[in-house]
Amino acid sequence: MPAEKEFIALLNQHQKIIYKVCNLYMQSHTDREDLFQEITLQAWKAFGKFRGDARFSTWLYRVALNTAITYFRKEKKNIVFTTNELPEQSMGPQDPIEMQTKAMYAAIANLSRIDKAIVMLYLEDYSYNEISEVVGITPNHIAVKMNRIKAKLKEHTQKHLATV
Amino acid sequence: MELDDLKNKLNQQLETDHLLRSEADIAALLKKKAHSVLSKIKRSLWFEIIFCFAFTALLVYVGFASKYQSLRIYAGSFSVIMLLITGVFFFLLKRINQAGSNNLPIRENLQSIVILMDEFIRRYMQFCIALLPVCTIFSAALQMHEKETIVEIDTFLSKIRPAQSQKLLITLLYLVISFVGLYYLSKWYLKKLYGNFVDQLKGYIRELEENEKE
Repeated sequence: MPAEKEFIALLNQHQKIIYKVCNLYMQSHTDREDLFQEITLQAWKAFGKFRGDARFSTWLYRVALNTAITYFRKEKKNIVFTTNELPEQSMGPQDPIEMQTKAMYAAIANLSRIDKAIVMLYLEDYSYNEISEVVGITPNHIAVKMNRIKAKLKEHTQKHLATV
Repeated sequence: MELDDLKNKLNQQLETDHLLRSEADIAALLKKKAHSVLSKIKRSLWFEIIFCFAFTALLVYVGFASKYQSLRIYAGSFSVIMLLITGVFFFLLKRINQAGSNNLPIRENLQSIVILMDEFIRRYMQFCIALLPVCTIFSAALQMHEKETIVEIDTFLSKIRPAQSQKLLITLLYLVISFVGLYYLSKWYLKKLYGNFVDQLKGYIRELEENEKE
């Protein structure tokens, strides 16, 4: 089946996109694995409509974010903490950059699902025009929203660092 | 430090915690079952369609096999109604397949899911609520025109011997209790299955649109 082979090869090259979305939207390792499976399946179902007029990575971000935003399942009870969200008491002395990154990561985790999608694309260096194409609102509103998100993240990060 | 200063670090961190999958692993994932809400609705619609076909077959059998004329008309009419309902389910399934693809922009995708789910919930509710009075009135009308005596009903009535006013009261009570019960049960069931999810999606759309108005 050539379409399936083509899809698998493309997804194999871009699978880090799905990992990033899973890490951003799910807390436990098991939930991330489940979301990875769901995104892969939804991407495969939508692959027939991928016409190649956009980059595959942009198309995959769109599918992955749509799936993550509309994905609702009961949280699994056996949450396994990964290095990304280790409880604070288990953290030893760290360098300031590492601590800042962890604080920022925690602040991003507290954002709404929509804001997380915007941050995700911003971190990938997408322009406001490109972000607006994925999100479906105008570039001006993406800019307004991004300024607010940045302010929110700064405030949360400072609070987080003050408590450490 | 701000978001821009930590871009690379955050990107690195987001890429961790996963082993890279091989092409064979990805191929195996494609054989698994999807868990999205639209997939859940599709499965539920297929279940309803299969149930409709099985029930239609039963009604056709009763329509031919029963010795009571009223039961034959009842079963015959409802087998036609069941086929019409099956057509509605197929139509909904087709719409979900057309609109439920995740490659739309986020806002458009949310809106299309909400429209579809609202329509599904509304149709399901209308169907449940309409069924009770239609069945009751239709069966009562047919019962009145039945020429043969239905032994089981006559035996039951001869045991309790209700007065005409009591019969009317019991029928009314039955109708009111069944109607209220069915209404709230269907509402609770649909809210539990899909309502909370739809509310959350509407919240995301509001979040996107609030931003637009400013």
